[in-house]
Amino acid sequence: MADKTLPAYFPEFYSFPPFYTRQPNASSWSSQLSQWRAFILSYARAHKIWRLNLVDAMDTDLFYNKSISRKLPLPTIREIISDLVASQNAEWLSPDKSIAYIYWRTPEDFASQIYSWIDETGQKGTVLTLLELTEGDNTTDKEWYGMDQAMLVKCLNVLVKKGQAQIFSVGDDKGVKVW
Amino acid sequence: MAFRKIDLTPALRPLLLPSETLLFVQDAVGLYEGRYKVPNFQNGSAYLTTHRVCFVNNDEPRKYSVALELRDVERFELYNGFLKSSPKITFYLRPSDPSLLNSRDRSTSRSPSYSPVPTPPRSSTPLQSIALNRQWICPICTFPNPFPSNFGPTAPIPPCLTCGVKPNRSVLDAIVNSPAVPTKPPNGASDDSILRVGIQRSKNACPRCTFENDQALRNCEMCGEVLSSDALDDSLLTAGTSLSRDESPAPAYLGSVPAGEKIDSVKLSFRGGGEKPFHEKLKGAMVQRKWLLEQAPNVPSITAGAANLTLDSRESDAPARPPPPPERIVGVRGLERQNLALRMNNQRAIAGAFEDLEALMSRAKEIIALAENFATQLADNPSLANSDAKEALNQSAALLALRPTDFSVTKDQISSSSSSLSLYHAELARSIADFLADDRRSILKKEGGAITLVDLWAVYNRARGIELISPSDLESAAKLFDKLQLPVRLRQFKSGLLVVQERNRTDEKVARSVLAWLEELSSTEALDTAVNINWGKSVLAKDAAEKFGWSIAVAIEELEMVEERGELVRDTSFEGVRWWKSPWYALG
Repeated sequence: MADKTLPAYFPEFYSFPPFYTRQPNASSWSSQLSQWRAFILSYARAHKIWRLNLVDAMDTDLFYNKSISRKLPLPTIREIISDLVASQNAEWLSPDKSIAYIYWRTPEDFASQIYSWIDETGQKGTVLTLLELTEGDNTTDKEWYGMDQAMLVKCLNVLVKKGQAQIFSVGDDKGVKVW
Repeated sequence: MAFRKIDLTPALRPLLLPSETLLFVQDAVGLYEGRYKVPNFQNGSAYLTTHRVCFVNNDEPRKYSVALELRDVERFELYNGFLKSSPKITFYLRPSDPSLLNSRDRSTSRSPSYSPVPTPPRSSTPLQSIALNRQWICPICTFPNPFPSNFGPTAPIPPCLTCGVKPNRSVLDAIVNSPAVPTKPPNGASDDSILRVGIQRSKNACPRCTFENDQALRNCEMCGEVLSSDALDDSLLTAGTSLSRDESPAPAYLGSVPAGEKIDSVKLSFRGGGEKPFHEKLKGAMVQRKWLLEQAPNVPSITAGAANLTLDSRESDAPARPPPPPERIVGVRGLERQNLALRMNNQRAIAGAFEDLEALMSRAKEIIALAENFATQLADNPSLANSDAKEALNQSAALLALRPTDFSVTKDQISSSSSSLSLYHAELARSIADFLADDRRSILKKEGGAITLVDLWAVYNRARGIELISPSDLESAAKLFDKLQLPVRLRQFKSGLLVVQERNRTDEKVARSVLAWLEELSSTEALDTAVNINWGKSVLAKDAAEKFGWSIAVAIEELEMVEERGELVRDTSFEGVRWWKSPWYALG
């Protein structure tokens, strides 16, 4: 029925009503938590979600299964995201914990992907704007395509720390040079 | 032979006879036969009922519990205690014809263990009986004391039983050296017969009729004569010395009562006090003699009462007819008249019985029979379609049939000595356990094996009817369940809810039954939605309560307990909490 049409990244638990109740039992909760974590990350990857606004996301398919009318409550969402933050798979954007970056790959992974792409395309030493990296015609098939600018800066900072890149500010725009 | 072994309830209280009621309970009691302590019967509780005095051993109640029928008691007296000697109540037994006693014993015994106090055979070896038959006269107070059985040159000399002064050894020596002129042995065996018994010990011939009885028997099968048995272990001779209270001035029971000393009395020694109220209640019981009631004529039938006048006057309105032999009226009219008479009689019975409490008690049997009769009539009556009313009537009938006296322990039944409160609670705990274990009521079964303390309090107090107990007494009593090793236990759930449940009911069993039920639901019932196809059926606490007979509070607690084990998961939504079998439990 309804869930048969769901993409493959939806776990089977998506249609299990207790999945939307935070289980008080510790062992049940840890299973539930790990399934939610995996689901959020794969959902974010499929939908290219970089920034997750918790309140907005509550009513999306991610946390709301309309077919069984079950919704994951906000405190539980926050708890799961906090767990992702603890394992470096997410990062709070604001101290009130309402928006988070979701790293379905770690910044290091993105950084090395960007680095190898620049290397492969022979753009070492040239200055690329960040928009070119995330919105450019050449990167549409890349995983970081459409990435949030602030998040991209965090990823590039990994390269900067390694001494493989430098970030410039040109007015409002930012540029990066990799060598 | 005054004592009989008794049956105990699951809660280790004496099983009361149908019309018997409990009057008093006292702990720390020891038992004497004649002047001798009975081994294994030195630390127990004494239960005074309207019919019996029961002794229940504290340590091994199933093994050492006996009762003395009050009807066998001729008189009794209170001894207030002196120095180290505890207060005692002595029961003097009616002299009874041994053959009569035997026949009664035989008729009532159901198992071989029914025989009274498991003491070794009465009579002793010839030599000992000679020694034991002697007496030494106290030079101080002239009391004839029994000759010490273990007398020898080195043996200690016992003090006089009355004045407590040890005699000079020469007094005893003189008796040993004097020509043995024993009093005639009680079984009538001469020296000759003692010899004969020695030869034929394997056959155990009766000294009176010479019938060769089996060795295990203690009374002759033919004539009921007490058999002389020779097996008297040395260990039994010393058993008395290992008693916990050997500092007591009374001689210990040496495994056998000295021959020639007839047991015509038994004593209860009140080491923890409480002899006075016991004595008072005993006096009352002996005056009332409730055990006679069974043969007593019934309360005069009400038809002879004043209420009859109304009926008579009505009937006298009818044209003159021959009064006593009720004329036979056949046909519908006859049936109707018969019915009318019956109804009038019932009405009178009810009206009379409820006039005052005394009357109600005396008419209890009649009224209960009536109530049961109504109940069966209701059950048979198809025209009474209103099932609610039926149930209510059934219930009230059932309530009338309750016999609260079995289960009620009141504070005035318990001695007022120092440990009285805990004793009261212990007795209360026992009575509650009996109440719960009672098959006729099967309260725990109806409640699915667990009942909340609050519900129990209500049900139990309702069953008592009078002399209600306070919640705090109930709680204190319930806390003693474990200590008293009763078949029920008190359990506290995570939320603090207290329930009483059967001892053998474990979390695992409950969890298994809940899960089995869920699986059964999933496999038998129609799975109508996609959710159910994938995940099986879910239940509400209400469903579990209905299925297992739990109260809602217990159902919630039990489900949460299973959740705690990880085998259930919850689904909280606007319609309440639904419970699902955990798919994660199998994984992890």
